[in-house]
Amino acid sequence: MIMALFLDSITDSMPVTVGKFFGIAAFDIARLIFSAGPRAFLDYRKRYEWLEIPSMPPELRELLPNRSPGYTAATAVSLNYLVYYALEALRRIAIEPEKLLWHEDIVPPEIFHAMGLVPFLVEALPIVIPNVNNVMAERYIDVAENSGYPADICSLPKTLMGMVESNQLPPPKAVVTSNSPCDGGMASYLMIEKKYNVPVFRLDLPYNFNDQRGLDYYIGEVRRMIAFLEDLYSVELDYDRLREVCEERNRCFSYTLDIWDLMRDSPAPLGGETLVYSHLCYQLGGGTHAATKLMKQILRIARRSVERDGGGIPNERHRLILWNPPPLVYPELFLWMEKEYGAITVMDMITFRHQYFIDTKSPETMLRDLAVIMAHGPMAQHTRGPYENFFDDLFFMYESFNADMIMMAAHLGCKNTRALLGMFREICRKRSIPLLIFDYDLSDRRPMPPEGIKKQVANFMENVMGEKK
Amino acid sequence: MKLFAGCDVGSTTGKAVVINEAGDIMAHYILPSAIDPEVTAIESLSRALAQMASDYEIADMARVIGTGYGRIELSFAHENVSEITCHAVGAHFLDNGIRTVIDIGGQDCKAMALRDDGYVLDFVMNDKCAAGTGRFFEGIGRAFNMDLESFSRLSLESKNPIAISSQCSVFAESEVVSLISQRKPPMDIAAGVQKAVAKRTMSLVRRVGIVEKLTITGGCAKNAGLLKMLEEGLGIEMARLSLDAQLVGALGAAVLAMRHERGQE
Repeated sequence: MIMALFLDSITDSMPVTVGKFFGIAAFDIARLIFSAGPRAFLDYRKRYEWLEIPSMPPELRELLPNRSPGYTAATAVSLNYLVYYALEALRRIAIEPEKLLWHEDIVPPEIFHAMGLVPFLVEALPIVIPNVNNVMAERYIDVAENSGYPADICSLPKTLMGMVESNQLPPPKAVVTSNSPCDGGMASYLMIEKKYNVPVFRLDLPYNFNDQRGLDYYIGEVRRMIAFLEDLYSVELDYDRLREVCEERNRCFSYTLDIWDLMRDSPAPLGGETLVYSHLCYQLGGGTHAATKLMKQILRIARRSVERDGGGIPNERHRLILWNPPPLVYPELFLWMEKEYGAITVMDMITFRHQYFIDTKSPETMLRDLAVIMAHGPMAQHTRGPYENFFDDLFFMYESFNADMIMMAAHLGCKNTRALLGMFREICRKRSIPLLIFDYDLSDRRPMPPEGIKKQVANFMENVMGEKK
Repeated sequence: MKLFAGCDVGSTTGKAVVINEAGDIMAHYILPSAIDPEVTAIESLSRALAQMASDYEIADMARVIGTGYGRIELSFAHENVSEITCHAVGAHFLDNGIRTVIDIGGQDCKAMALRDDGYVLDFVMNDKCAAGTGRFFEGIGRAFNMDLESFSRLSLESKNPIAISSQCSVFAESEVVSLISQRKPPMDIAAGVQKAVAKRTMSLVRRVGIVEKLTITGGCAKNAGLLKMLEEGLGIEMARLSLDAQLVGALGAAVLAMRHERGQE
């Protein structure tokens, strides 16, 4: 489904590279057909409505040309990776269905890759679908609520539950999840367990994981997960293979750090939803060559954007940090802010990750560093543990990326982060940091439509940032 | 003499303030809002100018800024600025120690945190519910069959305010009518109403954080009973401004007109 969006954007703004990118998408489809067979492909098309092709939203069509060619290219490449992920996952599932393992977005896939399993990030489609087809996402939300799922929790797990109830995902053999990021998310896995009657493993992230005791406990949890998978799939974790995966991830992270260095200076080469989309590669394909290739491409484009285009947008006036996930149902918000106010999102909570290069000298060091990365993943550490986990990252990002404002996306369905809004406001006032707390819903336009979000942003930009109406 | 004007076209009243290059307030005027915001603005500014010794017309103003809900409709204004910014700038202009402003107008209520230079650092607003706004007090005044000033004075006589449980202005009005028919002491009912509105306002201002000095602007700032309840509830004394609090938004617009004419942002 995102394929058409991606191709459309390329057709509109990057005619020179149409052939190149069309080739990539076509290659992904062709590989799926040739590897899994045309019957499998047709079967997927028949079963999964999300493989339908949506049209490009008119607002996006209008706003995209404001971005520099480099920034647009980065957007396209990021979207292309999402297309690749979906098609590649379907291809591998068709070939090795017995190795399919569902995993949650808080649990990255490096270890699963090293075990030769076929990991499938369950939240991937619920994240992508609202971006390109909000009506479809809202239909899944309604299905979930009508099935008895509570209406007042996060709409992301509700979208997932609607997809599960509608049989829109390839059924798992087993599931690995965790106790993060929220109660709604955890509850969704109870429903998955009941629906498919498959083994579910839950990683237990301790409340305070920054001390040695907490870390040791979590490493134990990771070992327990490995034993569970080895037993269930009758495979053994190959530590040499894990080393290769970790080294691949280190390469990917090295490119990421270089991108972040470019993001610190004004003008920023890219930003907004492109940053979020591209950094999803860690959750989707951490430790794979495709993820590394994406980051390398983004870095090359970002450098070119600075050198050739003079930045990602024509007149950068504001640099903002976005906290909490962006409105999935309204990705055009980023483009609108860029065009209307010269405000570019230079970093966000999902993109920024406290992660480290993995020490690959022994199995112990690899498991330790992977455990640290999992515990410090986006949202994992922000919705658990002491409030410092939340604030320290945020203010570090604000200073480190030379931002002049913070946008707090106050997701109506996120009780964890909404509980911190008052403290957040107090601290920002003490530090004289311009802060916009705007109400929105992650995956559902109905509680707060795009016009309502824009109105909140416009009020803030006019009254606090001094932008003319 | 260069003159600068601010026109604040609110939902209930239109306000105009004229200042000179030194920032002295030369004239001001308040009148009920007409249907057409531009008519309200022209009328209020013309009447303000008529108070001045020399014959000035709107065209003589070096710069005019419109604010308030009707600001976009003012074709004669050089620019328009949000009332949030104007109330902040106006209050800070009158007292540069002000760091927090509550503005209760005819149909909405806002709380603003100010930077040291008087511009807005943060704000919250309630623009979706009439409870705790001038329109609400008008309704309650009707139930008491008295004007707002008399209602305010009456509430100050109470020693034992009656708790009003309804948050919604429509239901609160019904509750007040019930209490009146039960022959509860009117001053206690009136004080209960003031307390209920003060509570709502306090929760709003606490969201932006209370940093002194705190002041209140807008038409409801004239309600002494409400101010008393707010001061008691917050435990601090609110700064009284040297100008009618209802004019602060228009003053802020005039001050911004002066600054923008000088090239200051």
